[in-house]
Amino acid sequence: MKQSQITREGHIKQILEALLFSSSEALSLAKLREIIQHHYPLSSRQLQQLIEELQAEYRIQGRSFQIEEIAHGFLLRTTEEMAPFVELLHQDRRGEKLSKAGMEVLAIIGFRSPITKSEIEAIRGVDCSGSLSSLLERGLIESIGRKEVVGRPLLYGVTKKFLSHFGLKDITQLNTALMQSAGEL
Amino acid sequence: MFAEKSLLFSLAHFEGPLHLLLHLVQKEEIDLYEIALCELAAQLYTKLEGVENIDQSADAMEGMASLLLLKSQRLLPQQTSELTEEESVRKEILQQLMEYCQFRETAKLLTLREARQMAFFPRGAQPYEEKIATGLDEISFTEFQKIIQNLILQAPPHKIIQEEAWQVAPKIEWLKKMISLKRAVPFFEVFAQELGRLELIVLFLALLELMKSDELKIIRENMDLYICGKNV
Repeated sequence: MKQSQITREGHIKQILEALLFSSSEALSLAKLREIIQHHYPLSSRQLQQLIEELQAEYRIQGRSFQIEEIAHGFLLRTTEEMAPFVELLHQDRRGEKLSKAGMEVLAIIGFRSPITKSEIEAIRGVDCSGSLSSLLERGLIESIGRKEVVGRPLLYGVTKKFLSHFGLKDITQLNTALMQSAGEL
Repeated sequence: MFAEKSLLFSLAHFEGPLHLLLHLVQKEEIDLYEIALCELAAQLYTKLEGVENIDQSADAMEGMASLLLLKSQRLLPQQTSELTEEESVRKEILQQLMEYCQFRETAKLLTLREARQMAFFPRGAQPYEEKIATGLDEISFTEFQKIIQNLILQAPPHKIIQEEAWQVAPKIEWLKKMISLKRAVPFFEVFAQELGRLELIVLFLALLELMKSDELKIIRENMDLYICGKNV
């Protein structure tokens, strides 16, 4: 039997790889553990360590893809070095970019969530209905409840899609990520 | 004599007893934001362990407490009640403006981040799709849009002689015929300056139809635009 020849860790890594390979969206650690636990009981920490090992293996082997921690989970993506080539295949890939106004509204929601429309407008000084509805349509923001004040206005927050769009692990990373971008300027 | 008794502290921006630091901060010679009170407190704590004179430690404690009070006061939003209405309005507007500028910068960084993220492709990205014919392979859409816009703007709105009622279908036929004869025609020969605005628009619609059905396309040669058949 082929399987008996590989170690337990090796087999778990194979399963991890298969799960990540089959998924186009980030898989959470909990989900991965839930699946693997059927065969191999293991702690989240052990699983995390195996993922890190797999990440390191890819790096050492010089693979064209890597496992990244994005949107509260793990995701396989091609490396930046491959971009010039992969881009040619997927030219019209992600549709149009966000408008300047849309990006501003998104920045405000990213840092001030939960926030109401009028609070966003107070910062920007102009009407934001258009930007809000296009951001909602693109699934980058969502309403996450109502504010307990007169009129009970909707509160907005960013979505998981926002995190994957900007390649963030979670929202607390936003600041560091932007500092990095600033450093590249 | 006082100085002798006092405990001495050394920080990145200051060295000396606490009451001197307090004095300098009050005179605004030192920016309180640059003083790490946390570090100061830690130094004070270790120093207090070795102190036997209660008066000496009390002075330091008072200095430390005053510094903490001052810094926390500055960290909190200031009372606006002391300001006149005009001042407070001005301040509010200024604050709002500053906040907005901050977010505008953030938005720029976010855009940068978005662009960088485009370099990473996840699994199962949309497969390559056969592009729908646009007839605009060699010229960008916006460029083409500008050319047409300029043409229409420059065209005389009304000709002196009553124009005939232009229709798209005959123009399509005309374009087809011309291309079958000549293979490639300079764009501005077809879309000539002297045409009336209405005729230009109808001609443009005819061209769009033919580009959509992949019968005609616009090509560029030495900066000149040509309308030509599909197989040229």
